[in-house]
Amino acid sequence: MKTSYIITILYLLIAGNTTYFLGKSLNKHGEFFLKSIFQDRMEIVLPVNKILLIGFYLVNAGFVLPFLKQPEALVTLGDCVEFLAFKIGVIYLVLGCMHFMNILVFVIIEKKRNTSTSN
Amino acid sequence: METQVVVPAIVDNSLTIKTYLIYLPITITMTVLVARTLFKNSKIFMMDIFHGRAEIALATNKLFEIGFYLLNIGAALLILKSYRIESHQELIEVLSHKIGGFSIYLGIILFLNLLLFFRGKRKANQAISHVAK
Repeated sequence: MKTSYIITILYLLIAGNTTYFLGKSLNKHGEFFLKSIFQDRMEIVLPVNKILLIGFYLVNAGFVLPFLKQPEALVTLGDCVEFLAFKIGVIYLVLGCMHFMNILVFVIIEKKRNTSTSN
Repeated sequence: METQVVVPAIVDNSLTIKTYLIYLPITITMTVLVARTLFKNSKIFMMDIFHGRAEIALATNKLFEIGFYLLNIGAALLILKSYRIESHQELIEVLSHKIGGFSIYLGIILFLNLLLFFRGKRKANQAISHVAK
C-alpha cells in the first residue's frame, strides 16, 4: 500500500513539474509568434496567451490524471522503476508530439499572416 | 479470513536496479549533449528560415529544443525495461544492447533534424528568389 502512495506522489510530481515548465516556456516563446500574428492589436496578445496557457494546462491535466492508474502487482523496486519509467515515457512522448503540433500551428499561422499582409 | 500483512522485499534483484542506475544517467546525458550541440548550431539555420527575424527564430529554436528533449527522454524511458538479469555478464550485454540502440536512434533523429533544417533553408531561399523575380 505504501509503495503505491510513493509511486503516485512521484508520478504526480514529475508529470506536474514537466507540464508546468513546458507550459511556461511555451507561453514565453509563443508570445513572439502572437505578437507577430496580432501586429496591429497588441492589447490582445497577453489575454490570448493566457487563455492558450490555461487550455494547455487543462488538456495536460486531463491526460496525466486518468493515466495514473497502476496495476496491483508493484512489489519490487524494479517493478516500481519500470512502471514509473513507462508512464513518464509515454507522457513525455505525447507531450512532445503535442508540443511539435503547437509549434507547427504557430509557424503556419504566422506565415499565412505575413504572406497575406505582404501581398 | 486472516489478513496477512505482506512486507514487500523492496530490493530484490539488485542487478536490475544497477542496470537502470547505469542506463538512465548515460542516456539522459547523451540526449542533453546531442540536443545542446544540435541547437547551438541550428540558430543560423533558423535565422535563414525566418529571414533574419531574430526573436521568432530564437523562440522557435528553443521550442524545438524542448520538444527534442521530451521526445528523446520519453523514448529512453520507454525502452528501459529489462528482464531477469542474473549475472554481470548479462548486465553488460543488456546495457550495451540498449545504449547502442538508443544511440542509433538518436543519430537518426539528429540527421532527420538536420534534413529538416536544410529543407527549411532551401524553401526560404526559394521564396526570396521568387519574390525577387
